[in-house]
Amino acid sequence: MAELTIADLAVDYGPVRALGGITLSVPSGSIVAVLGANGAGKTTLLRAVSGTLRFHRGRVTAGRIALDGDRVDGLPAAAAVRRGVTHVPEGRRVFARMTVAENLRAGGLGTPRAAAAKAAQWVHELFPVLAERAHQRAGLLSGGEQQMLAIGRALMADPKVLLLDEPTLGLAPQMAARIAQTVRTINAAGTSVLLVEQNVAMALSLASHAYVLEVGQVTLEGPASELAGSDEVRRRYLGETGEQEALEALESRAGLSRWSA
Amino acid sequence: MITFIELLVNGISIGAVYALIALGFVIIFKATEVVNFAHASLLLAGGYVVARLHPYVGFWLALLIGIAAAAVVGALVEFLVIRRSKAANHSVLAIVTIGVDIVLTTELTRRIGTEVLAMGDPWESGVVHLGPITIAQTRIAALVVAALLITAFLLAFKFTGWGVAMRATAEDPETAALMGVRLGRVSLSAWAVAGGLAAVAALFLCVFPTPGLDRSSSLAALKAFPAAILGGLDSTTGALVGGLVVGVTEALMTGYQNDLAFLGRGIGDVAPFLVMIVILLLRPAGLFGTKELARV
Repeated sequence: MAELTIADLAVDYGPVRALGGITLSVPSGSIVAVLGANGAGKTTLLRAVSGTLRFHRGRVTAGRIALDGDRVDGLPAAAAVRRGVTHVPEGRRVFARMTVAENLRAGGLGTPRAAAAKAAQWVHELFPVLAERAHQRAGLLSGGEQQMLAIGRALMADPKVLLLDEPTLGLAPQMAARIAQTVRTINAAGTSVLLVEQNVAMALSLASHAYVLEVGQVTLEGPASELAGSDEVRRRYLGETGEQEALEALESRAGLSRWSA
Repeated sequence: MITFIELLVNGISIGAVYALIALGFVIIFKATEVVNFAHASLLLAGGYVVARLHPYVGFWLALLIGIAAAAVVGALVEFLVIRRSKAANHSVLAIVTIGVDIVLTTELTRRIGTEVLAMGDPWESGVVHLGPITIAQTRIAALVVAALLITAFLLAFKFTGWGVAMRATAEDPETAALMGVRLGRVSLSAWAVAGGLAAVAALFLCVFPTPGLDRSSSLAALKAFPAAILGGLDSTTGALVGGLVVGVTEALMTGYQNDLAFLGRGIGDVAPFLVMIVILLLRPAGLFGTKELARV
């Protein structure tokens, strides 16, 4: 259990300001969602926490990031992992030329042997398919399996806080639901989660608290249930223009029948 | 036929030595994406230490110290130059390694002067007779040692945590960092291992039938460049095959140069580069290279 707090965080990529003073907190044992359009700074936020901004020529220019009160901003990525912050990057980024087992091993490289063995057991419990495909090249897995591998690989580091960047991007709805369920299970086992998602409905159903980012600023925040009910969020992110239209849309949809029926 | 077999064995033996050099070259490229033109000077440094120390401490200890010295020089180049450089472009770093090479080679050749330094190896000019075939002991030693080192290296690359970290970094450095891999250590270890392998190669490039280490010894190391490149710059398998192709080509061309008189003298030295050019025309990424080297 650990609490991640971000205060007045500003990030620049060269002359371009990507985040302009963000304050956000992931309380111990919670799931917090960050919503927003492309380019709002969601991924930048995660990179700042995991110490990978330098790979994109970005840097933190102001503010602080702390894990249980200890500052973690400015740490190299490997050090952040050792402190207990693990980031599952957007697009899965599995090591395609290595086997599934080697990918998992890579995830546990910075973890003591005993902890890594325990983590491996937990990962195989969560994703039995990874044990079945242990010796297959990761590049040959389906998109959903690769996402499972990416999450499993991150869990090998035994994180206190898991940063998830678009874990359901490009997945079939069933697989997305499966990943969402897994995020819930991981969280229930004691890992705090900071979730960045385009699938707003799913993110709000998972999270207890959510923030909406726009052009590097937090424009809305609140309990997830409240945001899910707010007109602004519904209009912008849930593709609904109002109660009436939503009801009509539902009714028209009910009239459709499945081809196979 | 006997000549052919002798040439072939010699070619494979020298090819295995080139493979050692090319392997170092390839792992530096994989770990840091830098084409290391300073490789020949690492080799010269290792060979120089062995040649200077063996009269005092004996051959085997001198060899160990030489390997360690070349590894340290490699690590220092990484630590003092490559890591400090803010140049984001890897082509710029490759040019920087040319500078490092010139500095190191100039200093070493100044120290060597006009001498030809013996390596003090136990094989000297001994030969082994296998029926009608005569092979120098040094060639057999080179083949055995290179094969053992290459096997050990490939096993480590495949099965140890270090190897997993190396391969993960080669594939995607940012994601490797997210796994807790310390990229600095991976890069440092790649340079050190490459230096050590180059020192072993230096020994076998300078023993019989070569008279010894002299100021031109690093030129022999240049033949490992076509070996690495024709195999595919980012492939360990490619380095091995490339080394053998270059070694065998060179040995056969030199051995039969009287029959190839119309090509003129010295075809053996040129042949590896010709083979490289032909292979690159047919397969631009080398025999085993990844076609798309750019990372997304």
